[in-house]
Amino acid sequence: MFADPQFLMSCALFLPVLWGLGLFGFPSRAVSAIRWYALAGACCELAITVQLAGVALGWIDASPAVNASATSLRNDILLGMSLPWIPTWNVNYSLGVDGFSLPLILLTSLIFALSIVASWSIKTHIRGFLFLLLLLETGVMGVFLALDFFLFFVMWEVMLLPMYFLIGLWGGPRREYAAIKFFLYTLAGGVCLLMAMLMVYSASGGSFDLLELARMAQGQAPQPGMDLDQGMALTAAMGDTSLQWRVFVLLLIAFLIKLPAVPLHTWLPDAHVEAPTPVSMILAGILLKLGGYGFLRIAIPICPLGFAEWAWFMVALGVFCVLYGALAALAQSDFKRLVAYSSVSHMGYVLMGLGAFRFQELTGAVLNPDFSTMGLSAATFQMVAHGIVSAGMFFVVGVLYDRVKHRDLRQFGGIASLQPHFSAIAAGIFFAGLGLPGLCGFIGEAFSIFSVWHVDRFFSVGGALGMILTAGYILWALQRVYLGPTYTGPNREYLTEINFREYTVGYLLLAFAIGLGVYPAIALNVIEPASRQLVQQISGSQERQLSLNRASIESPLDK
Amino acid sequence: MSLGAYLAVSAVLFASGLTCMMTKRHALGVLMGVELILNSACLNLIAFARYTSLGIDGQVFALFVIVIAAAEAAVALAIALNYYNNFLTVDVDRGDELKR
Amino acid sequence: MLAWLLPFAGCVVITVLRLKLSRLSAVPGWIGTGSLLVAFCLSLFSAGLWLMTSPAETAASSVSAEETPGIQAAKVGDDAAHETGYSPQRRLVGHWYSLAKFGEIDFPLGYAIDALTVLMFVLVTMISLAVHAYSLVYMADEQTESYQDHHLDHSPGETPERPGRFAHFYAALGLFTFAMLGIVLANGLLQIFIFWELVGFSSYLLIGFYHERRTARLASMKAFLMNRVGDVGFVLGMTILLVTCGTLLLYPVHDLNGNTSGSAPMALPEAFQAAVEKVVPSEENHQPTDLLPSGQGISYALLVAAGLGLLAGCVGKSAQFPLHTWLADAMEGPTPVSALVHSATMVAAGVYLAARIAPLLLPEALLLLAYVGVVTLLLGASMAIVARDLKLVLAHSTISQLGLMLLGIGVGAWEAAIFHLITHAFFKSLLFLGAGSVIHTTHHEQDLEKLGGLRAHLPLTSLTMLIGVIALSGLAVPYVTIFGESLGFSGFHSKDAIVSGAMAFVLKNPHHILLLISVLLGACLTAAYSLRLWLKLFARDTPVDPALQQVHEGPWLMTWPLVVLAFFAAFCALGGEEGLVSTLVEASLSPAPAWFSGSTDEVVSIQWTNASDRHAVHGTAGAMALAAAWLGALIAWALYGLRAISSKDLSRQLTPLVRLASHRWHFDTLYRGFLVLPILNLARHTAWIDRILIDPFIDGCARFSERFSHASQWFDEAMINRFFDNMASSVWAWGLSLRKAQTGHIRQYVLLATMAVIVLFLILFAWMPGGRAGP
Repeated sequence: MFADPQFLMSCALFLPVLWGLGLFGFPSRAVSAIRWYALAGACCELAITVQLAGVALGWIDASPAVNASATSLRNDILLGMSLPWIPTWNVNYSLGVDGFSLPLILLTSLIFALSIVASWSIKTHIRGFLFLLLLLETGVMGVFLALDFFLFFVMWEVMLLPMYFLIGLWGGPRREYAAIKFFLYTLAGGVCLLMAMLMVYSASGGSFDLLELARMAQGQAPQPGMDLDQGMALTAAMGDTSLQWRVFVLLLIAFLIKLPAVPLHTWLPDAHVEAPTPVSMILAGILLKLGGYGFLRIAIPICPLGFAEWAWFMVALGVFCVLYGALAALAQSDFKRLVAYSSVSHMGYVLMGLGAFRFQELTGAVLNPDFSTMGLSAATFQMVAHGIVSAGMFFVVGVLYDRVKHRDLRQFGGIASLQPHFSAIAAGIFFAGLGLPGLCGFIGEAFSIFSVWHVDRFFSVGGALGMILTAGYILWALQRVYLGPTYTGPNREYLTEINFREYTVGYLLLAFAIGLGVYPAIALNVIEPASRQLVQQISGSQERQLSLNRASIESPLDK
Repeated sequence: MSLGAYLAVSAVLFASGLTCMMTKRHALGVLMGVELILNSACLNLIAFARYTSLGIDGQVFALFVIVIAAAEAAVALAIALNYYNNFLTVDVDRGDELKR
Repeated sequence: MLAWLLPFAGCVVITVLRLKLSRLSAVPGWIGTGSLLVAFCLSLFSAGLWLMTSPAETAASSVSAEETPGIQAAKVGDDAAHETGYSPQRRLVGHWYSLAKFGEIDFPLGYAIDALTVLMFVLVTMISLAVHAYSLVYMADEQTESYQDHHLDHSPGETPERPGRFAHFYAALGLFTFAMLGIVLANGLLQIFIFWELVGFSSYLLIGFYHERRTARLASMKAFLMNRVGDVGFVLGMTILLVTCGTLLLYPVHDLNGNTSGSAPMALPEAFQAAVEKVVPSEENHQPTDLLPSGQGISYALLVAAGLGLLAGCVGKSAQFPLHTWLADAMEGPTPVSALVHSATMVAAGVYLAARIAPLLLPEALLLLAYVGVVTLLLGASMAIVARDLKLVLAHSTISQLGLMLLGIGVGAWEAAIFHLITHAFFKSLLFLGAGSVIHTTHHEQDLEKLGGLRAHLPLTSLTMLIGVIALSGLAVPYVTIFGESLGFSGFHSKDAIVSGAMAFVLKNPHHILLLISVLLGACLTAAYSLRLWLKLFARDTPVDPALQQVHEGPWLMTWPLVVLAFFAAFCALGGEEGLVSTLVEASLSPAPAWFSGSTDEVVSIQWTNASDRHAVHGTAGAMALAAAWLGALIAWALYGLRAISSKDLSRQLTPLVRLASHRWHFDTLYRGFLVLPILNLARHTAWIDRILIDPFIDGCARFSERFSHASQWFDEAMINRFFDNMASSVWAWGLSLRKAQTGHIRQYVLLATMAVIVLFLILFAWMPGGRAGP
């Protein structure tokens, strides 16, 4: 049973929320039991996703029956399943795993487990808090696993509500403002997503299946076995450049909000500053990745032609985000706000990597496909790395805040002599964020910079300049917080060395940061085939489109 | 005698009944005016029955009118009696309760 | 390779043990030192193996047997040679694992071992060993629970205490050694970059070791950021090379038989040359650029820019103009660190890299490098001459000497540059450790004006430092040879080599005469400041400051490293350019690419020199350099030894120059004013945009929609509701007014009914005349 991908994927999807329902069997006084129970659930989830990864990568043999049923999907994704959900509207319950989603799924279950450990510091209404956390995990898993646009959208909205309450109920002083801001921003994105979904639905003749949509958008028949003539009309509708352009713009807005990219990013600092530590860890570690993942799973595959026109813009925006976020981080005096802006800056590298495409003007093929592959892989890797690093950074800030009850950088200094051990962990995590080679932040940054050179060399220069600024604000923050004469600010007497629980989280995150930095191939080998395939798809669809255009120009009489 | 003469008598009767209704403040006076008007109508009906093709219908109708007038007189007298019980008067101008 | 892993293991062990051990223990130090001792022995052993097997082509297998088994390794003999006619190089190149692979683009991690690597291994492990041992004593006061830092300028009343960080120190030192060896060992620019940054990181830790001091904090940050600026260039250079050449490997990977395996990618030098060959003809024909398989044109400027980018990395790491300001500040670290990191090894990494990538540098880049080197040489020397702080003199001297090395690379004499790098490493670490011994024994007194006359108290230190000073200034006794050797210490030989390189270059390109003049001037200044340093410290018999009467030599762990280093500083260059070290260096560096063999270039016309040219002018150049050095030494002697000229008078006459130099040419102010503050301002404005523009915009949107909803509420209430209300109430009012007609008087009703009938009849008859109304 545990080698059956269908079971595993559904289990990964629904286990958290079912487990969370079990929380209500506990009396609300049994705080400790509730915590351990939730942690056990998150660990089960982690085990299941690891098992899923094993099956997906072929380390563990799936049962033969499943193999047979999944072969039709195998060309596009590693594992897949599909059951009818609402047959009237052709909505399916289809889940799948591929090179893009697998690392992110693992990251999700890991970060959720760690954030539940970190939520030991939450004292009020712990049962509700943990339930919302587990519900959120189901939503996130659903987004990462969904292969059906409708399911994706539903899960996208499912995430919204727990997050709203987590910020709005357990947050800081301005939590209501932050929560409503977060909610409205994301909802605006959700509306764009909905519109795009409906446009695609009508153009494709009523399909929500992402794989089908992608095939149609590239000018192939919707089903692999189907004759091309049958699907031709639908394919033509989906392959229409102007439709794809409009859909892509809508998706762009939706995902840029989530990523977040610069003009649409201001919900992030507020939400982070007000959110409690575990929620910040999840928000930065996981939820931001959904934007990038949305590009990889939806926006790029189903609108390759629209993407081709917007790729340049995405890189430019990415570079801008890198520089803007770093500069803004440099000017912050609130520790958590600084880390939040560092997220903006780091996610800029993701955007850079995603857009690292250039097309040949005559044939429309992707120029230097290896570099575009590198860009997509770097973007995915950067998402994973940033998931670990930013979760770690927020954890560090949270641990500090739990003790001294303030986050003002100007009042810190000299923490290192009071918490030498913890400071070492913090320095490690922050240096990973800085992009020190040997730690995971470096790989994504470096490869994004490498990959955008062929789009425009100034982008590489800009990205590289971002490296200086990043080093600047991180070093400055470290210096202001940890170094210097012994801390004499407020609440000094509470500033004790961290306990075992906090060590566990810190060391685990640091270990992953080092592991991914020293041997990134463990993730990149999974990501790379998927990104290469995506590059081929884009290249193919663009070539086909241009040849169609040329044909229509050359022989207008045929029409 | 022509139809016109009957009609003229009836008109006079009608006019005097109407005048009686309008001028009398005594409830029984008003009732008498009503009787006069009814009788003028009866006279008309009978005259039309005699001189036109209305035939026996007009006379039957007149009989109905007389019966109804009797009933009406009984009801009206009962009202007047109650009215008097309540207001200790039979002046119709004083009875404006329905206005409210 | 084992030697490489050992310091790392030591570092890890120390880090782990730190949890268990008390702060008072010296065990971390002994672990670190022990692991380095083993590492040093191993690298000596491998060097010995290398030398013994060097003549035989079949040596490869025996050497690789010494390596970890199972790794594909091979000696690369005449692979690249047969095309261009280079002298065969022996090189072990191997491959560990792939960092990432995107289609054709592979980022493997591997190793390339050649004579230079072995040499650098011996050098680094040796100096590191010396420093480790030395620090056992120097840092001993860190083995305490309450270390009192006297340099803290924050609280004047009390001396703040903090726990000692002995283990921390050794962990960082071990990490540094590991990273440095990684750079030396790496095959491929990306791998070099990884360790390059790690070196910067450990240097950050070590500079900021006394992080309670504000200056140390700032210095460590400055060092890292300055390096980072250079690294941006490095990254961009790598990017260009990756795009144009498709690989970042320096040397191709070979299997045991010396054949490249089928799909082995081209290594950088060849790929780069291929790119250049593609580009040059197209420029001649003024045609659009060639298309590479990747489909993108390459322009010549791009290739130059690649070189410049990589050089920017070197410039940053080696503290060259204009990124030199961090090195002087880096002296905030403990003195042994300065000896190891900031003089002997880390800063040399820039030069090392520049020499490794020299074949990738086009003439323009090299020329620029030469001028950068010259400017740095003079700047550093001028600052060293006026510096009052003992360590600052040495730091500026390091900057200046590194400039000299880069100049050597710039004029094409990179064997000479590496040669000088090695000799410099020995004598500069010697000088720093000597200075450390002075500082240690005088309880952290670094001001040259307050020190003096320590010879009697510190005989061994003064003697070894004298050797170092002489080596640094390149002094020698002219025309005297003993056993066929000219009588000079190591610095003499290596400096000679560079000067002759510069001279040969200038002879061929007379309009770059400035280079030669500056080099000679630099040599003169070097001699002057180094002698000044020694004279100030040791010259007189009695200390100037009575407080210094108590000083004495440190224990054997401090003095023995000095003696060993002094030995090497004196004699490692034995034999000059025909000597062992120099030959080893020459044997391992990449041969000059095609455009060096006299071909002229389009953009800058430069005649490149070769070894024979340099050899031809060697005698003259040596004589000139020596003369310059003696001149400088005499000046120093006159000023500080004999006091024939009052140094105060001289400095008064040269006030503006002195002031400029002692303010370090105002570079810090300049950077602060033109870079740091504007960037911070920009940052503030960016945050301002968020706070003042975007956020209020969003909030404004929210408020607008709130207002709008209020407005629509008002519209609902005020307009629509009121309309219906009004309608209802007007109907009501109408009814009320009609009620007045209902008097309740029956007689009136009858009257009215009658009148209405009459009126109706009248109307009927008025409208229908002729009596037709009737039936």
